[in-house]
Amino acid sequence: MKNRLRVLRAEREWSQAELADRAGVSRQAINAIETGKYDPSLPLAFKLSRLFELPIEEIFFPDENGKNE
Amino acid sequence: MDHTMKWFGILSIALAYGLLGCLMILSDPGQSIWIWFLVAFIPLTPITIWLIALGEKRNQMVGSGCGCGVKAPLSIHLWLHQTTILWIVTMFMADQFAKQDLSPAFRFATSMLPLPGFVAVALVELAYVKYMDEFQRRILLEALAIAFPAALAVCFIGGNMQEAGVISAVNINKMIWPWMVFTIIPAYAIAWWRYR
Repeated sequence: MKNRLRVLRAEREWSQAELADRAGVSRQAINAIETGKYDPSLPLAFKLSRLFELPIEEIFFPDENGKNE
Repeated sequence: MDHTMKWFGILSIALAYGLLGCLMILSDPGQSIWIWFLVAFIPLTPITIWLIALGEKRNQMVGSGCGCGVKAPLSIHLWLHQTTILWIVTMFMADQFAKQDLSPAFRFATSMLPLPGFVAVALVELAYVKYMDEFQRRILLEALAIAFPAALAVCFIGGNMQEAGVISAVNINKMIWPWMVFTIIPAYAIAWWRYR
């Protein structure tokens, strides 16, 4: 699964630590999600979508190569 | 861990050691070695003093200091350290008692010495895991998935080599738990490296 987390975070000028604090997870978790190494759970994805005030499908979308699907 | 839980923990450990002590004294009153079981209380003293002395600071959220970023109340970290010390101290005590010429009942009681410490460590570990986020839990699960078979492999290969006479005889029972400790550290590093 791919995501626009890094872009959205940069638009809001949030650091990884700041976003992690807001989402209630560790900075390492945000880093792993941004680099595509870790797919968040549904509750965390909803939390991120609320933080960015965007629907989930505008933040996370399937990888075209089918990776991690 | 709230106030009630803290005192419940301290009282449970004290009660467990009290019962073991009574069993040891009743089973063989002539043994002067029973005094040594009091040594098991030594690690409990800093737990009590620290938790009382820290006051409000005990609820302060602090990082684990190992780079994995787990933030938990200071009291949980202290409990984790102190119960681990308690467990290790009682393990070595039980090991020393096992070498003494003691009555069977006394031997049973001394072999049970590490159990309360172990239960305390397991309970505090469970409390600690609650403070991990989903990613940190994934890392822990993967680390355990690597460490557990690795420790087993080392023990089985060690046992086979021992039977084959390649290495000298060692007590395989006492090799397992140190290998679990030694393998969890590189296993954690490998799990983190995969998500770096």
